[in-house]
Amino acid sequence: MVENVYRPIRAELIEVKAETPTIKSFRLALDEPIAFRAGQFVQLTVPGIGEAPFTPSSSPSVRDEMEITILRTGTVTDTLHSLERGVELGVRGPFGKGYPTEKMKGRNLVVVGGGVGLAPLRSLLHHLFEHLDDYGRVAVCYGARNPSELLYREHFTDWAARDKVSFAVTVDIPDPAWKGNVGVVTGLLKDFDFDIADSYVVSCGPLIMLRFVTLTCLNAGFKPEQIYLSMNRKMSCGFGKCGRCNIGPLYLCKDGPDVCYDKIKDYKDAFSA
Amino acid sequence: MSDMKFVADGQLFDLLRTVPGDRKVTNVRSEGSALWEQLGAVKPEDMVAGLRGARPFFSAKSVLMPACEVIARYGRAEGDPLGEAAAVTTAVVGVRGCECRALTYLDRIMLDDPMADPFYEARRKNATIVGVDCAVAADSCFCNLLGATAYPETNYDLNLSSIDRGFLVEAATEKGRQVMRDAAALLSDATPGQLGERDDMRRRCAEQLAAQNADYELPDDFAASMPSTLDELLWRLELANCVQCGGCTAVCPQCYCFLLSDKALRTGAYERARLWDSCQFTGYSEMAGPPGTLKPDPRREHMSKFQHRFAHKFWYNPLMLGILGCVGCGRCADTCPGAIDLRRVLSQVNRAYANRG
Repeated sequence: MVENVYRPIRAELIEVKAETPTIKSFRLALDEPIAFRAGQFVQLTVPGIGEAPFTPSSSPSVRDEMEITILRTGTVTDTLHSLERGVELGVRGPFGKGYPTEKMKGRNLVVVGGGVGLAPLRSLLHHLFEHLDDYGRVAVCYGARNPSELLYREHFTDWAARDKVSFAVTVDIPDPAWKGNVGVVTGLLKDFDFDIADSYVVSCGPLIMLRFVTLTCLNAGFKPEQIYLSMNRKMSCGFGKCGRCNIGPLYLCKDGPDVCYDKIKDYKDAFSA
Repeated sequence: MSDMKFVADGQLFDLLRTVPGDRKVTNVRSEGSALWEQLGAVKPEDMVAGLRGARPFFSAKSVLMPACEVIARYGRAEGDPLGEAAAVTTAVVGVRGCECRALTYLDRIMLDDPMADPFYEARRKNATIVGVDCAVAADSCFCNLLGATAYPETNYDLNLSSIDRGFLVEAATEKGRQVMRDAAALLSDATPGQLGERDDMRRRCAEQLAAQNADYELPDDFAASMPSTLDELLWRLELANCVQCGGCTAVCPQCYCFLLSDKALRTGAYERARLWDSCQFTGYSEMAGPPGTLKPDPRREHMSKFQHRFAHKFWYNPLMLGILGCVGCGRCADTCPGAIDLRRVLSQVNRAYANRG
């Protein structure tokens, strides 16, 4: 009997952690482990309500549990945010290609996150931090609307202290206690102290941010094929059948969700929202 | 040519009844356009007349991927819809050349890269496909402009060709040959004269297609001409006729978009259904957003939805699969309340591209 890929695997919600006023992290214990690569995504089912695609923010090397960080922004996520530990959810996946971590070996990486966009990138950071010898410099740049919307703040010092890793953070609107950078995240994309020609950019965030990250990086000297973007599209099936997540001839679910800017730059709806 | 047989009109229905299938369905009825229904619900004389008429409104897609079906039960809900779907064999009767070609396309999408859709795969495997030549073309048919024939060339098990007082029967697969063995008593060897009649019938239909499409000229290279003409006035004029009903994508033998919808059956028991969707609908590509806000949608504008249908079929598909997303069946034009005709739009694209110099 062929396995029914539309049927979710049962997952128990074992922990809910409020990250910001609008974002929570959900830790799941899966009935069957799902092995995923950094950047691959799953369809998370809220029983009876529906599914939405999320990239786990936990380490790909942890198999029996999965953590997903989710912004409250629609039907499925509103319900998720009202749930407490102990309830049953469902997971399908993994889907997508994941970050091209093999191809990026030996290179410098600029990881640019915006808002909840740092959540999918965290699985990449987990992977990079577990294999730092394989990569050059890792420059993490993170921006959020205001200090209260910054994700994973408790890890910032730890990340910044790692060898070969730099971490910079900025907010659009500071509060009185904020002592750090103010402004959009593209403001952090300068003064690179490594060879741009030997580097990749990986970015996840709102489409408008991805667009300006791309423009800024192109201006800084990156080539289109060095820029990987987690593009946002609506998805249903997760494996190239339902049709709705395309950019040109690419289906983000199977060809992405992280795609090389070089492959989408000619399609005029790539950055429309 | 010795395995070509003849069945008389009066015995066609008996032949079709020997095609194996727990379910035997046909889209043929004498009135021409019909939904798929049980073979037994069609009168034999209507079947004969229908198979001699132009292609019906709905294609084999409706059988292999129904407009609405339950695809999963979870929680405490019992039963696996996949097991249920995979247990049923189907005879699909009256599949035209365009629909057979469309299966090549649907197979590429549904059976591969990165994995198969298990429901389509099960139905496809369990289907016996009885094709039929088009003896006449509908006014909107333009398969000839895409270099295709009006008779099945691939993806059929058995094929019927209308001739005087009966049909020639030809098997393309072991499934089809088995039907011919099972129904041997109904069949006689085709005579050279009958083979000639089939050639004449096919030639007449090809001539009809050539004549009715003589004024249209489609681009040689869609992937080159489409993107460079998207800002032309022609698109705005055509768009004015579109009411976003989604009829075109519903009747298209190749459009495959769907959405998933979950519901609770009772406490703790849930069901997931899939329904055909259309890229023409508002909300098709809309993403989540807070209530009361304009939700992110990469193709919010009507024009971007309208052009997406063309771009996907004639620009992206050649890049994705090396084949067009269109078989030239004209069903979309027949269903369109705004009379938007692909041939007309594409001919204008061709002209606009040529005029760019």
